[in-house]
Amino acid sequence: MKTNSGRFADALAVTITAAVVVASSCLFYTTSARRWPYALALAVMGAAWAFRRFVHARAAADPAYLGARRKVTLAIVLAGSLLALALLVPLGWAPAVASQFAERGVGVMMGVIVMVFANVIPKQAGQARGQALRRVAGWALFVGGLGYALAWLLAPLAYANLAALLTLLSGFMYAAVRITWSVLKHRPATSIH
Amino acid sequence: MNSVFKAISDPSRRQVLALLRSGPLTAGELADHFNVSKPTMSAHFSILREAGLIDSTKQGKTVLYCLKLSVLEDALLGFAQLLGSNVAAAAPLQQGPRPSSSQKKEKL
Repeated sequence: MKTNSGRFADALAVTITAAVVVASSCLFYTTSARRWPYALALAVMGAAWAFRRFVHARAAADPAYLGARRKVTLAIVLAGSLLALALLVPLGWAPAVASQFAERGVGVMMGVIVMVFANVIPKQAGQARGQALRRVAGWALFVGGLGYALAWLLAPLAYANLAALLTLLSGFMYAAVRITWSVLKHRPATSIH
Repeated sequence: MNSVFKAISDPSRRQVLALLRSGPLTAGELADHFNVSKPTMSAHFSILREAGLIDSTKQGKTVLYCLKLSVLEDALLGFAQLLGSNVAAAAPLQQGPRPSSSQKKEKL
């Protein structure tokens, strides 16, 4: 049963998403150069809502996922808010000095979104033998997302994007290598007979 | 979140979660590690299940438990175990029988 705060969070998420989608779409079609940030904003919101839909479907079967759905909704509100703030500058509704904070804020929120998604990976239902692998993947992506957010928060703006991507990629690669190694190690030996 | 804090506040429940790290275990295998009654263990399993920290599946007559911790819950459990071990290490210095009033008088 949804609480009032839950309904408010859902309404806020929908409102902010609508604002971001409208603003990003307008800027995508009216801007001739450097359109990829607006496409990325649309992709991020789409992916976040798709994940929320996935978690919502799981919550119907397992109430433990209700907490995860609330967290994803909160992440959508926060990410959407920062995206909306970032879009104020190209729309001409905010002073140029705010653009650096908006750019860093978007990066930090991207990292937080990765952390939110990675946090619930070990809670996914599946075979028991995959439990350790889901834990490794969750931790690796969580730390990668944390590094991504910290890079955007602390690194000089000129290097923040590269540092953040390298940190996140390191987390992905570590998870991929550990999982691949584990799968190969436990692969059943082929019989010669 | 309150249920998670309540679940990991008990050292026996923390030990259950630590045992499940190595893989799924049956209720009987978990209970063998503790010197408590079966109803007490069932209560611990129930609290952990309600907090969403473990998952249970029935295999015939046995119940198999597996770990279901998110990354933050895993980190919280690590902190709780660290703090719990620090408290346990410090506790022996504070334990011991209090001197009785007659012993105190003899010292004086």
